[in-house]
Amino acid sequence: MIKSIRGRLQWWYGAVYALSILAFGLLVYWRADRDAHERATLQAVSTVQYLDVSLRNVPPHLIRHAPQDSDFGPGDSIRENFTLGPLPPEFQFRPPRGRDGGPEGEQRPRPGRPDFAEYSEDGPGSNPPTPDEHRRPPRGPGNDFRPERPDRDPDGPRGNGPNGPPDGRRFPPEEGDRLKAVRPPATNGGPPSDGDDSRVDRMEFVVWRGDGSVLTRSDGMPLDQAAVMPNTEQGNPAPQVSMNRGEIEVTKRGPHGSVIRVIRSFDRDLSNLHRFGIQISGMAVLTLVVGIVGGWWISGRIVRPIEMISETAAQISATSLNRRIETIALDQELIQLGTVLNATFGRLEQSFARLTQFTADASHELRTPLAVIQCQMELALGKPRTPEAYQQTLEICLKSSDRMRSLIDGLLLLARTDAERLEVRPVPVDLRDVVEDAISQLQDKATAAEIELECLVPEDNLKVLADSRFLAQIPANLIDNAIQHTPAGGKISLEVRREGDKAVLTVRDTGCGIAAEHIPHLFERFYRIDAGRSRRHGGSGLGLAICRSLVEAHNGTITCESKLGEGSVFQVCLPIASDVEVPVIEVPVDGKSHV
Amino acid sequence: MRVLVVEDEPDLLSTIAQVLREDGYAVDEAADGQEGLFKATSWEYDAIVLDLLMPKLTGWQVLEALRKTHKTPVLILTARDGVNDRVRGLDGGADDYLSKPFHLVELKARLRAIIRRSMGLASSEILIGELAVDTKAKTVRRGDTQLLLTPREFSLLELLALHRGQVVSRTQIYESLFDENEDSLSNLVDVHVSNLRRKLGKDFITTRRGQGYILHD
Repeated sequence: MIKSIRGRLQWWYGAVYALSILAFGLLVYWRADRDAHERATLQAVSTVQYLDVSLRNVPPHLIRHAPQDSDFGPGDSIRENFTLGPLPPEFQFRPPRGRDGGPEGEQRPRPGRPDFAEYSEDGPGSNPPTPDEHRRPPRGPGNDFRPERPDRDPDGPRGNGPNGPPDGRRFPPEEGDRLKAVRPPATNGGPPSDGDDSRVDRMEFVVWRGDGSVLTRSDGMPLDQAAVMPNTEQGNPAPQVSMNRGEIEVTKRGPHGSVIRVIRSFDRDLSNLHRFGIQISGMAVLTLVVGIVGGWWISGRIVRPIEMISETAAQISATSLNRRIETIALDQELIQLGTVLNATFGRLEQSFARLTQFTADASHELRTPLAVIQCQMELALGKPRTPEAYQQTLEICLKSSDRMRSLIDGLLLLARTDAERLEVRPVPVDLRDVVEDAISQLQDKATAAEIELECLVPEDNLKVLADSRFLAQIPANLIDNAIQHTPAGGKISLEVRREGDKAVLTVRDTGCGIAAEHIPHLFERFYRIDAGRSRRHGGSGLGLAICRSLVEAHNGTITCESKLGEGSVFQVCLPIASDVEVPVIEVPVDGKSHV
Repeated sequence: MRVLVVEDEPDLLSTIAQVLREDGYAVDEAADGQEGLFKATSWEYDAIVLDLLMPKLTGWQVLEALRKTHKTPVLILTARDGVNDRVRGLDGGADDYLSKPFHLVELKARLRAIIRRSMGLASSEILIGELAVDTKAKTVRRGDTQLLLTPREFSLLELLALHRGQVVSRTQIYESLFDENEDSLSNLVDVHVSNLRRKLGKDFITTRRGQGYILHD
């Protein structure tokens, strides 16, 4: 599995996929986390600023210190009238889907986002205890708040403020009508919603007077808070933001020595984030599964042509070597593979065909003399014959068995050179002697065929490194071949000469010549220019093939040049022995002479 | 029966020719494809024994050229015994295939078989009235009595029997009985016919003047 291309593709694909999803998920999570923090901070800061602005409408003496009876005249309605008013919706939390209710569990669905004004219509009776501070009507209508609306928070808390109307924790209104004027019901098209939100993120606030007593506070505000500006100098108006344990705490100096603090709990955002993280992880796992399954399919399609190639290759056997891979249907990358394989199959088919041809030829050459022997024997045994007839039969059988023996010798020699098991024991041999021996052996045959044999040898000796048993066959075979193909009255001339570091033997005849198309195949086994000619001449069809094998076993070359009707020239080149051997091994004892 | 042997191996050619002659065939010899095709198209043979690998024209080429004009039964005799070679030979129009080395008895049997088939006979025995001519054993029986015939007489009887009901001309008899090397006299046929009449019965062979001889059932 791991070692298969498909498996590797699959694993890499899966790994890249998983890494991409992981990176993407982390990025999204990080962004969401940052956004949530920023949003919460912004809300807290905005609330602080809102409170700050609202405090500016309150008579300063109420802020500087706790109110005393002397501060109020009889019948002064300032107690009732003093209020900071509700937090406008921009500073309120709403559950993500516009939840209603709030801690009171109010069940009535609200169109649009909950609005403090609407809330006020529900009646103050449902409100939690109001702060017992004096109330004072706001100076103007509710658009007092508007200038304070933070423009840095374009979507504001409205879309996803996690909080329902924290009624009872704000400055609860006394008179719905007036509050309506303060804040007209908003119609921002938020979806209606209902249900219960047990994890509403709270926004608590507290305002301390200049003397440290509490001017107003929300219910949920912890009581142990102290009116201290953390790490701030006097007169620094900037809100101080600190974050700890899921809470964002914003403190700011208000007017007249007051201190405003808003605590925005962050639990809900965190849990939302966790939920988001789990959703992302779930989606990632799902995507990974889908991706891996898809990848399996895709990699299967990629690997399919390879399977096709191997199927075709598997179907190729000794009997069906003509099959080929269809490269047209392949992809660019595989066409080369297919072409190479097809070429290999082609070569395989050719060599198989050559082998089959060789076997057929060899068996043909062996069967023919065998058939002669068998027929002669059968004929002779058919009925009593004269002694002369028996003698003739035996002569024919002897001739045939001679032919078979020479053929088998040739085949064995070729088989040995093929397997490189020919034991060549090279010694320096004079090529002139070898050629003259061959000529003396074949002189009678040439004379009988009325062919003149002529030899030209140099005066110097011409030693080649060779095994004389095998070397002698080369000129003998070439001369024999020339005699067979030269008509009576022709001439065969041999020449031995030195050419550089090569000894060259040339055999030239005035025979019928060889057509150009046959020359490349001339040294192939049993190759016949004319199907039956060499048999009539008694040749086995192996002579030139044996010559080539022997010459190559001696590191030489053999070539043929011929023109139809004008005769042929065979040339054998063999490396000269003296150049290879003598100087290096024997001479440099005293370092003076180099031969 | 007259057969042609086309074979480029001289020793084999002479051996086959000799053994077929001893069997009562008139045998012509050809040493290469060209000569073989020339002879095969020049005379009427009862069968041809054809080698495949020969100089000048291969056996396949000879067969292809021959089949354009002649239906002569051909027995291919070759050392090439691959399936493809056999199929090619048989598809090329050969009637049988024998691979070297072979037994002479098998060659003779196959030769008889293709001749018999070409004559449309099912068995090697021809029955003419009471007379049974066994082409395999080269014997003639009348009832249980074995009749003694010379090979030439038998060949003549066989020829007439194979063409019974038809007139067989003197030329046909000459060509069938004597091969190209025999310088036979024209009255030799009459001698053999009268000998047959003497041994088988006077009215056994009818003479059609100017036409030839006929054997009635």
